[in-house]
Amino acid sequence: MIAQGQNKSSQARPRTHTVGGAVSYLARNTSATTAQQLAKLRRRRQWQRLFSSSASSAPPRPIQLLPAAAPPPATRSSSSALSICRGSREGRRLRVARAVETDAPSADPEAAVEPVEPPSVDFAFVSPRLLPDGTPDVVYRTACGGQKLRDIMLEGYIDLYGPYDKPLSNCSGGGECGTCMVEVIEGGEMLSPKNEVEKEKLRRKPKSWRLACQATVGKPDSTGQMIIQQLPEWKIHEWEK
Amino acid sequence: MAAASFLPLHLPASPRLATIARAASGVVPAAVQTSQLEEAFGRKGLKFGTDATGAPTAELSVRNGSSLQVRLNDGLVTSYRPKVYWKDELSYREVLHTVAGADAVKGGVGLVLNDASSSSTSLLAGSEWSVTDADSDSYDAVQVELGCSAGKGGTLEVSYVVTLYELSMATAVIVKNNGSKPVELTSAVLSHIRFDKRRGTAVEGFQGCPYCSHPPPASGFALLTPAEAMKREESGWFGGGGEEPRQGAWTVEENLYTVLKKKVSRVYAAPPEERKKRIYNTAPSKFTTIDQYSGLGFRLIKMGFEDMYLSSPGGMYEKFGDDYFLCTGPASILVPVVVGPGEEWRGAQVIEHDNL
Repeated sequence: MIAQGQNKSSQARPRTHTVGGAVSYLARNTSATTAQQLAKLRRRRQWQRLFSSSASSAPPRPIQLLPAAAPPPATRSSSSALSICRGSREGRRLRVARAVETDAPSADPEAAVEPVEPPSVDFAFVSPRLLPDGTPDVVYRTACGGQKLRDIMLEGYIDLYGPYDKPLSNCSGGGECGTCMVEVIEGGEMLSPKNEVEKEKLRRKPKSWRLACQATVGKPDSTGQMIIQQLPEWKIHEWEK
Repeated sequence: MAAASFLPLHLPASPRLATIARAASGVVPAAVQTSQLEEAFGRKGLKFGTDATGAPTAELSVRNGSSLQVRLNDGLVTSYRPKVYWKDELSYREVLHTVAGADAVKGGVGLVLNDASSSSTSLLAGSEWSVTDADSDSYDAVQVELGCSAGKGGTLEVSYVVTLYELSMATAVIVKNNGSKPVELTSAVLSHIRFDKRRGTAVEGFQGCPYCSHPPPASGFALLTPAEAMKREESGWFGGGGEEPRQGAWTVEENLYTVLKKKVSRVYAAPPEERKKRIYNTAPSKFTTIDQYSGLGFRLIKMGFEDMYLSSPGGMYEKFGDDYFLCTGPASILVPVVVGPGEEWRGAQVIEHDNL
């Protein structure tokens, strides 16, 4: 079984943007991966087949992670939020091979008599591990703007710190430990620009990563939507650019 | 050869297999039935036999020794024994709690599928399950699929897929409405998980999630009936913590660990009024059971279901054996699921562990 995994006959460019591609890429090119990890990855791929529909030859369908945006109040700070949910091709989506399309919370974009809601920002927090059937593990929250992202995540009981959640394992928002890293998939323009502390801590990390304790989400009257990847160091899927 | 060897689930059914499956569900003696199933579906890791009460069962096992037993006439998983590292040695631990009743074993992991529109009658009552497919990769994964026709006139096609992996087991239900009218379902996958002692039983993962008291959906295999589950217990000498909310009142779980010493019957979910909003705080998709005395934890993951049902028997556990247990699992009971004609609905539960 391990010999099967290390077959290097095909040297195709690694298609790591799908979990299935990641499985076979790792199986071919990693000698350090233990047999157990390989079995786990193969198992995950088997699960996708369990839930694949009969039209599995169709290209993977992008998943709508967020519902339609709130009806914009008179003063809007961000105009790009609508592009996420209108089906535009340049919006970033998580592409997972043969995933089941998930339901976003019920949205009603055409409601003309929708009561005016207080301005708030919608969040979709994505866990680093996918659910066993290959779909992303997303949790939705809504919060007012103007707060630090860390506060929003902790109030919503979102796992921000991962293994560093214990009482003295992180600096609790001081900008010293660098453990509250998150990856911003969508909506990064609503966050405050990186300050010196962030630039220092995230020097060798990808550009979309932010420190949640230093990033402020817009102003108290902002509306918009953000997709945040929790614990990006531990994530096993890739976001398609 | 680099591809995983799991075959696509929906193989074209050869006529021979189909007739054997139909014959197996008729009034055929158990021994003949078992041998027919073995001939049609038996493979490495999947054996057919009968349990102590004579009901046909399938036993799934994988290379690391973990095994699972499922009763074929109603799809009840009666035993799940994964390999775990316990007390400094590798051993097998029974995760599920079952009680041998008068005519059948109760407990384990079972599927509840009730009709929401007509006073919660079970859609599965009186249906005959038959083995429709089996699959395995001979090492680390075995899968068996049971199918039946449910509902009035057999308009609902229900598939129940039980899979065993090295570190987890999964049960998935697929309901297809072949009739012409939409069907409203309340469904749940209820698991009875065994714990060593009542005092050290807790679950983790519901912090910040709203819950309310709610009876479980009625089912034939559950150890506590809905009325028994909702009956309040006399609190002991020390009160045992806060009062349980009345049915229908929603509170938010504040603790990181939910200690389950007293008798509760709760549904953890986003309240149905919240779900009508444009965006609402969704409930977590998994939680972990904690057993302080054995030190083992099992993670229950829900997919496709909206709510998570959790109940503990409190003092009533003594009626059902020596071990404490929890009856829990994903469910869609607060808001029924509507399956239109020609539509399909899927839900699954995975019990996995890292105790190795």
